[in-house]
Amino acid sequence: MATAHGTESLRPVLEIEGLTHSLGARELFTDLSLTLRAGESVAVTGSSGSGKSTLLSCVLGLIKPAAGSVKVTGTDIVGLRSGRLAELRARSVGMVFQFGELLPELSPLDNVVLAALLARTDRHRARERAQALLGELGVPDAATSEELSGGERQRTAVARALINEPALLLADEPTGALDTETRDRTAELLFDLPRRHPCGLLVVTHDPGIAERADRALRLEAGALTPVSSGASA
Amino acid sequence: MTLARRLLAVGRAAGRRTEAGGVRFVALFLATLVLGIGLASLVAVHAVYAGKDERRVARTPVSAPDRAAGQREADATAWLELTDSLDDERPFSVVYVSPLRGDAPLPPGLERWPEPGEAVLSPELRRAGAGEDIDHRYGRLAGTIGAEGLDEPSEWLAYVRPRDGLSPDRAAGNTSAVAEVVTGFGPSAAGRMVSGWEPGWGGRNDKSAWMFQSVVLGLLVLPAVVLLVVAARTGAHTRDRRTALVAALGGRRLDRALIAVGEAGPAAALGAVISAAAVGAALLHDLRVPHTDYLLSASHLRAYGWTAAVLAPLAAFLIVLATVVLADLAPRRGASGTRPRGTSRSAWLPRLAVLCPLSILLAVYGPGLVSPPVLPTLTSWASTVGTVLTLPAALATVTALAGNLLTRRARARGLPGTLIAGRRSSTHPGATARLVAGVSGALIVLMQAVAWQGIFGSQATEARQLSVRMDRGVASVGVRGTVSASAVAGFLARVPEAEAVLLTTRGGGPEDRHVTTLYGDCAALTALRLPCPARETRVAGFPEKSSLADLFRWTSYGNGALRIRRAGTAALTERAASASADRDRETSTLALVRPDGRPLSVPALKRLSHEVFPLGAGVGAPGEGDVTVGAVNRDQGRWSALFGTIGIAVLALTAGLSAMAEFLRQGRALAPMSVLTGGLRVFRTSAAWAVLAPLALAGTAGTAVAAAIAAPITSSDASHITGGLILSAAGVVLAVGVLLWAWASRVAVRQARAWRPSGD
Repeated sequence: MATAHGTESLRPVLEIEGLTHSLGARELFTDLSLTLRAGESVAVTGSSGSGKSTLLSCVLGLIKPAAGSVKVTGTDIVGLRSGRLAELRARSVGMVFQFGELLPELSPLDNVVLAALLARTDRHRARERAQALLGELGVPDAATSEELSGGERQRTAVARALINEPALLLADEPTGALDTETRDRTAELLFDLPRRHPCGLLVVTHDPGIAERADRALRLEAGALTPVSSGASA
Repeated sequence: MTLARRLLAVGRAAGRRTEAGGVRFVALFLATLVLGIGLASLVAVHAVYAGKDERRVARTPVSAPDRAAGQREADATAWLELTDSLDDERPFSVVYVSPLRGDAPLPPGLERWPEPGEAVLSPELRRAGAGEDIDHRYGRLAGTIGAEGLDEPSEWLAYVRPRDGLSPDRAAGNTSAVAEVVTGFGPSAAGRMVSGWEPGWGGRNDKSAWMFQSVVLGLLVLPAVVLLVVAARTGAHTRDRRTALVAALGGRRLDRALIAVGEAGPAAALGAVISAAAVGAALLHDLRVPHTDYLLSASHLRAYGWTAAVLAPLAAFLIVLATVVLADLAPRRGASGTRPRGTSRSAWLPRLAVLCPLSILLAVYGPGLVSPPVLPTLTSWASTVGTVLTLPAALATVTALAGNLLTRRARARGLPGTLIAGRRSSTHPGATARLVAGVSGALIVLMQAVAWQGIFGSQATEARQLSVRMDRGVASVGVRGTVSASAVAGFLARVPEAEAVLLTTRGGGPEDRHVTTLYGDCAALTALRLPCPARETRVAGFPEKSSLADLFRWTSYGNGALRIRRAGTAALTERAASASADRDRETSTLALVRPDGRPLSVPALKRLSHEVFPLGAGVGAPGEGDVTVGAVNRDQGRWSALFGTIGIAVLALTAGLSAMAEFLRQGRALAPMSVLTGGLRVFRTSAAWAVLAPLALAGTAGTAVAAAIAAPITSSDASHITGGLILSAAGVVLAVGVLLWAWASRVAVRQARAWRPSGD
């Protein structure tokens, strides 16, 4: 993989081992494992209801799995106290949701700054960095994020995910709501991130065109991850 | 700190721009306001009771250390506390005072001694008695009693200095009017405080403080808390999403709490400030409480000023913030799943609904069918609880059935708003049940409270019923103190339109007390429809048709025998004078009756009695004493009605706001339709069905059922559950419903106009 960040890039930022979880009678994961290193991008595809979003929820610690461990930058988040979990999320994890999921009442800038403030970043630094990121991503000024187009919102969400320089970047159907051109630009931007920032990227998508841009593409089927391309095994 | 400020600002921005047209802002504002005022009212009740106690102690007469030598004691005041009343109003104290000698102590609240024949009245007595010319009833008006001499500004009290002075000796022959010797007032005066001589009826009439506190708690604070809980969850959909997002971004509990506080803060702060201002106003000036005509004492409240005006609103503010934070942070059921759970239609609602008519029937007819005394009360209580629990289910089931009809009608006639509302009411009866539960429950509780209040004074109620059908052409006159025959003659001469008779009962053995002698001339006896025998005649009792039959019963002469003795005016006045000189031997009452049957003016007779007799006379229509005691109960019942009406308004508002928020959330889904159809009427129609209809149903059906099941408790026709109470209870709910309907329609239309197609 690109070695712009030297040995940093070899460090595992996400290690999932023996993950087991069911939703009602349906078993979503059976002894699922996955390792993601800094500087690497992994795409997970799968049919609707296969558990892609649930996998991200497990990585975020929003859902507690029945068994297994989920280590983010070496810390097992399963069973982590909520305060420590919040701290870890703020410091080490960035997330891009399908529809951006911005706070509609806030300006794009405030949306991005908020994430930095939650990670206890200095206010001035947070503002400067947010402005720089939004500028870099071409997001215009607006009083509220409701005024933005779908692509602009998604880029704001990317800026928000990057503001804390996370070691692990998660994206849930990041291009699902976008037109083809915006989709391509957003995908390019996303998959370029691990090369420019020292982070690992885990993308969940049902779009094979997006998945093939990742270093590794995996398919979630019958509760386990299987490679869909000639990349390294999970 | 910076982060905290920033998060608060994020919350504020979210609050300003959030959906549902500021419904949550208004709901939180009102919740804080009512809660602040409710908590301050709890403090005020305590402050008033404590203040009244303090004032009463300070004016309690102190007895001469050596009472036997009282009259020879320097610096003493003769003191005689009697009772008077205004027509159909509560009784009050009239204290006859006179300086005996030396530097006689003045009762608190009096700046100087009134001259003989002058009276000093409390301001509220003057105001209430203006129609009866109370200012001149006891003599010339010498001024008003100062606030420090009244237990509270609302008190009715009069100090009268008799024209001829007042001495313990002079009144000695009159057991009902023995003047006491008072050497001072309150704990600072040397001697022994005698609580029995204390002026004022407040101590006798006031219910315990805890009873008043429970009324405030149940009818004001509790509804405010219900409103708060609903307000906290209003627009929860958006906020839950935001909370989840902030959590996903790494927000800690404290961070999320700060955002929640920032959002609710302005509304809660405004509510707290306005409630503090309202309480502050009550600290500056005595405040007249509507409906009760009660004057809240600013000086009593000032003793607890900080607690009432600052701590209570502050507590309300903090409670509101704590509630919104807890509501935001509380884990939601199903929040761990990634798919929403379907809601199952409840099967128990229609079953409960069936029990409702049974409960109502049991409440209305049950108490009459079982044997007293315990079972009727138990039946009444059990069926009332049953009705409170089942009425919302019944209303919801009726609405659901109506929803089906509406849907059919809407489909047939092509009415979009009705179609949406009809479908909604028939698919979500549980939501309707929750909506109406608070309102219908509160209506039932209020009517029960008022009904029970009524039966506590059932004796007075009977008396009032009697006084309504009673012959107002009869009045009893109980002369006070020792009077001369010429004074009695003078009095009678000034009431030429009435005939007079004298009723006497001899003291002594119990047998004597059963015989009442009636003196009067033939004109008077004829006017009373009594025979006019030449010689004393003994009859078994008053003929029922006689105007005096009620008086005979009510003046507690017993139901014994009656002797009729013809007597001219001279003999009658002599007899009255001699009876007044020695009440141990004989008690007497004059009865005046107008032969033409027209009513006698009791206030005019009272005033006349004070002009003629040194201490006036107790004048009243027969049984009036019991009526005036009942007036206290009636006046206190007004507090229940006042707080109950406010509580119902708050609960109706709660139900309406929650319906409105839900409607507006759905209204967003409707917005695209209005763009497609271009019509905005659909919002008004669907808002009417979503917001107004359930409240109107809860208000009307709730009031009707509440009044019906309270009726057996007050089976007498003089129930406190008046038409006015029923109308105002239902009216308040309807008014709130109409107001919220108008608001909901406006916001929905505005929301629809502003809607533009967007990604989400």
